[in-house]
Amino acid sequence: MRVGLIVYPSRRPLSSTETGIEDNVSRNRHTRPWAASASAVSWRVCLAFVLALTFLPFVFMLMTSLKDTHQFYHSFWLPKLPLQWGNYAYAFREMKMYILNSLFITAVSVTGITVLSCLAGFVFARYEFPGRETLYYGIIVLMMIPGVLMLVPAFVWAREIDMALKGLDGWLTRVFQLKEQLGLKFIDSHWVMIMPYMAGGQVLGIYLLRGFFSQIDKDLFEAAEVDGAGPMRQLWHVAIPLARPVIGVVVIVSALAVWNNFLWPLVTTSSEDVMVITVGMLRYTTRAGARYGEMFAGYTVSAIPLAILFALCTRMFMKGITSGALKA
Amino acid sequence: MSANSDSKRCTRYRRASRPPLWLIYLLLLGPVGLLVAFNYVPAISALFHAFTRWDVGEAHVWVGLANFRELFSDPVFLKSCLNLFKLGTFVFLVNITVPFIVAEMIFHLRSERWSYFCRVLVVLPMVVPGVVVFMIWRYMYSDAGILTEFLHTVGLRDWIYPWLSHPKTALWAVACVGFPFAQGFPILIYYAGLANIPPSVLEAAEIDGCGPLARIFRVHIPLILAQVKLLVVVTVIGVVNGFQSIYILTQDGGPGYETMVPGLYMYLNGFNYQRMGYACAIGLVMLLFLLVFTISLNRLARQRG
Repeated sequence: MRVGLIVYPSRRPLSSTETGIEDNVSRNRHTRPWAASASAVSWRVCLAFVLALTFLPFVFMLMTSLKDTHQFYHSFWLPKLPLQWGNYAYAFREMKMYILNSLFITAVSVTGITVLSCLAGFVFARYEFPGRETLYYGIIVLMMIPGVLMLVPAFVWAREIDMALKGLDGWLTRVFQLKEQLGLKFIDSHWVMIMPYMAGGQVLGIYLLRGFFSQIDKDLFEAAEVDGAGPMRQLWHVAIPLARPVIGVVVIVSALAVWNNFLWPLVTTSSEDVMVITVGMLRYTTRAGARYGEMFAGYTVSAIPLAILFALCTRMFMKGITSGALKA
Repeated sequence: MSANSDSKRCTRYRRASRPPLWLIYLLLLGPVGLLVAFNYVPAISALFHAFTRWDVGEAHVWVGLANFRELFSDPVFLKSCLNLFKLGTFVFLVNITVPFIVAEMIFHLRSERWSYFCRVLVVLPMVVPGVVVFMIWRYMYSDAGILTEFLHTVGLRDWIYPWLSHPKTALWAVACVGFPFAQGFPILIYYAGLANIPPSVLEAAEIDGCGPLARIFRVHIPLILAQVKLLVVVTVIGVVNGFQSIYILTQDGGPGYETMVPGLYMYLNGFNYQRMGYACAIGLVMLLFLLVFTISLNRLARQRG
């Protein structure tokens, strides 16, 4: 072991006195070391400043969520003891239903999206059949059309499905002489969100997974086939284990999209027991009124589920944010 | 000859190994059925009803181009386009430049650990639902909000406005939501572009005596044009479609029509004014605008490189 080895800060090139080589670059750097370090420090100060400003609203949110109204008005800028944990109790009690609904809808939609896009991506990548490209481009072209622009006709269509279901319900009741109706409905149910989310979310998944599956060496599948594996087992035992990172990306991207969706649940749901967190927050804010502590506690609570997901798979999360867009 | 027969046997083998066609179509039935039911039907319905008068509770009546003729002489729609133009220009400039500067700053951090830490930090706010972020900003602009309180504390009482309800400030208050605009997504995209530049290029630039500014403008920016293009498309689509923030901040595009944008106008026509045909026409105009924009940008990019 060499004693007295100088440990340099990482990535700093050796200066000319250390290497003994005098070239243009190192001389340049050597003549004005203070200038280089001053600029590096000012970059960092700027960066810290920008980050601090970005986080100001969120820090303020956390701080205020632990105050009552009196503390809010008398110590606006600074945290104040005693901390009001009761705000969080209130927020959890009020928002429990919204969070559960959001969790349920996100879980079902994301599972559906993943299953559908694995199946379709595999079929498109692995087999040739008449109409393959037509079907594929028929699916992919939907990435070009933003769903928001179809909000009105989509809503009317959902209402028509709802009416058809209610009609079916009445018919079934009559035919089978039921005592009460089954309560079939589409509008104002979980499915009015889950089905369109699955339809829209699978597009990116099919695109990404077809791309990935067609890059897998054909020999792998053929080897599995020789061993007697049918298409489903090839998908499950060969393709999916290899595609795990891509599937992770699909899961994260679609979970974020479903969780954050606001306009569709806003127009299609109205009762508390199916309401999701984004729309629920609007009601919650109105109910909290000018009680800022409770209001901000609610905002904080709304961030907890995604914060947990983020903490569990930070790297996947960061990759998922960019790679969905980079490949599209 | 033997090779030929070999390959023939191979193709025959492969074809035999394909599952029956009905199974393939069955597997695709789920995805395609969902898309037809929830994307194609509404899309075609939107296209069709853009040419009809379609009021809630009444049958639609074919009116040809009347909706579009009305649209382009509708003062509210024209006002909303102007607002969108102002808002869009500002958001566009800010969303393209600020994340680039932040990405450069992060890129220049010497230590990989700090750089990763900063990237995680800029992404972290994404755990707060977008809707809630807008609600926080609505609070920030309110008369018990941070901005007002800050001006109070500093002693600039004359500068205090009811930001979201004063005609002079409302649009700019909406535009400034998200200040200082260091959003995680564009920063990560830019950073990925910068990190992909081969070190040899940077070294060559340095040996040629390239200063820090020249390095950014002559080396970094030309090499991340693909990322810039992506962000331009994403930002424009986002601005044209995104009226959630305005819905939450001012509800109906008020005061007056100062913060009205086409997307919100579409929403209000469809769900509040009960004029669904008109709403479909607005949506179609927005879609055409976006398609023309995306296609011409792609063509421009192909001509350049």
